[in-house]
Amino acid sequence: MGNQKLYKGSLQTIILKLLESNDKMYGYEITQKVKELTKGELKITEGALYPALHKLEADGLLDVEVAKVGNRLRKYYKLTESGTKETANKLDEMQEFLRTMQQLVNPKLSLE
Amino acid sequence: MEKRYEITEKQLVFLEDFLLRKYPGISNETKIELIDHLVSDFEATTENGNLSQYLSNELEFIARFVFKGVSLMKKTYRKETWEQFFKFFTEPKLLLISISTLLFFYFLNETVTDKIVYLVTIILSTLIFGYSVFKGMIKNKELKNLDEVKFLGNEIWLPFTLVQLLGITNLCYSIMKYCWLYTLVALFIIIYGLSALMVILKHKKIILEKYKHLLN
Repeated sequence: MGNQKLYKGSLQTIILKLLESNDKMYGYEITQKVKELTKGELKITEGALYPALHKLEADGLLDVEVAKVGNRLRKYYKLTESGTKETANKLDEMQEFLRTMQQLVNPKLSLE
Repeated sequence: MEKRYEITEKQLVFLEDFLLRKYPGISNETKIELIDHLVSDFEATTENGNLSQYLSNELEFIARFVFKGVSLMKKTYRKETWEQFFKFFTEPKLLLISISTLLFFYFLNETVTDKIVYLVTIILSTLIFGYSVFKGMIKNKELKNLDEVKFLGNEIWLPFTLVQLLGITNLCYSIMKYCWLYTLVALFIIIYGLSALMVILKHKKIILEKYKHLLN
């Protein structure tokens, strides 16, 4: 749980990656999926998630679809064409970042 | 998604009334997303099905959620219009339109009277404005109260107002003494108008697709 600050800068990448693997998702589903995948290690707060989703939508990386689910309406998010490209870029950046961090925190391991 | 409880129809109506009472100006899109989130969370976490108790713990989140929506919408349309505007000077096909407009106003300014030049500017900008209103307006009763529909036409007012202001203040005739200056002003009016029109048409399509369930 103490790692929340480390994850903060990766929120957009996490959202994009999840949408890449799940076609379309709604806000609450994203928070729960992250909790499930990280076994509770990472909890995305709604206060951080929705501004990030709205920003990605405003930047044209996400499309929105509203559908009726049971007795209420639900707003689904899915990747646009440029969102798919941006996901690949962000994941590359993330891999590069992880490699660099690995070299810094565990130089021996990264040489092997 | 695991549920501990299923919200009742009565509680759902209560939640919607609560939001409308507390935030009368809340947009439809914000309301849809907020209600869905609150209900999903309530159904997954409640111990006793007490919605009022749940809402009292979420007041701060609800307030933040509501106020961020509107300003983002306006900013998005403005940002996209400016991006489209700059594309008129960077993309070859659109650049042709910009150059043609520039040359048209320059030679018009050189050959006819100031009154005619202003008249042509006003006619062209009115045509773009009129076409935007006619083609871009969403008239469906179910959609016209959405924030994204209300603010959709905001940017088209800028060039239209500018051209009227130039006429009312007679500023246009002072500017026309400098041929290139008026040409640049007219170019801005026409190209910004066209950019706003393109953004309106693009978003009209997106909005109609997004809310097709309300139209069926």
